[in-house]
Amino acid sequence: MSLTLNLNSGQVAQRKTFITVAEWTEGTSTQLREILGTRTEDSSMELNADIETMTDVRGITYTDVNKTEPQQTFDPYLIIGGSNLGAYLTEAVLKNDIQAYTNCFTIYQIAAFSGNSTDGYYAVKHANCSIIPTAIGGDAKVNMPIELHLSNDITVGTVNKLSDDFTFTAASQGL
Amino acid sequence: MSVTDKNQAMINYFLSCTPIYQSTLYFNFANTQDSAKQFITLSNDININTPYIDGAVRKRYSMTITSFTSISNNPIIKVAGYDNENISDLAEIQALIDWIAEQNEAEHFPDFGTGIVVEEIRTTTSNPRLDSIDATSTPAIARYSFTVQVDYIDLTKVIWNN
Repeated sequence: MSLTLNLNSGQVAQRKTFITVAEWTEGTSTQLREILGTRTEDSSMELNADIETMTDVRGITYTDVNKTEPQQTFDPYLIIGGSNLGAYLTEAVLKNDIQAYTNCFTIYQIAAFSGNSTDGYYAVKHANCSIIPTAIGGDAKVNMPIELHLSNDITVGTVNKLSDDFTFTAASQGL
Repeated sequence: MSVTDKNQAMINYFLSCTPIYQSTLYFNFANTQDSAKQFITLSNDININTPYIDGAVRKRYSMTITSFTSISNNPIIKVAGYDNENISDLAEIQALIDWIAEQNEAEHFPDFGTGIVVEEIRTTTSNPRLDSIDATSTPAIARYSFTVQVDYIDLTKVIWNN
């Protein structure tokens, strides 16, 4: 499955069309989802590539990318009424419950500038991700910056709508 | 999605403030009479808008409230217990500023309608400013004012439905 841009020639994709959604389970069965980035002005996924370069005897330089460690910081991440993830992570931080946020999130990255509501929007699903709060406090408002660490357990597919109750459909192999 | 007129929303909000409700109210135009109050619209600079990555935008609405009050030419009586009318009148306007601060603390905000989350209401100064005194009218009228700012989040362009 390839990503095609649903944009007019010269049109720039708006930031709000690149969406990151966290999915996690509370208790034994309650599965929750929440978009990341509420009240965040700027956030980008950084690949953190492990790069090795070497120059052969002819003077030609080669670059090897051994792996990437994608991560994304959301700062500020404000504690906002109605946020299930905010409540979940705050409790984990205050209880110093590391297990509550380590490798237990599924992250969907949705490119809403590719696809549409009829055929679905291009999305990738990362299983076993971590959302690590790095601090909590702030000045006038409670801020708990978070770092999202993406796994390489990736499934490509589509989501049928832009809301928390979307359905993710994995792409058929070979397409 | 219905759009709420923010000027009307602000007037509705201030009607819950008894001293304002009991005053003769004007919008932009005003007859300069004792105890009248005037709401004056201000242009809101869009350059201070803050866009967020989910499509929400933090915006600011501003309005000036002017209060007209008769003014006395009596000097201050240097005996405890005697009030000066000018000081008392100013204290009443100061009470409006204090009322706004109390509403903000209680998170009682103007209703800007669907898709708008008001985060803060405040005055830009901690006390009223004396803009002018019209000594040609009888009685002379002092004009005090202060500016109110409302910070709100505009969610109408967000594409993700929670």
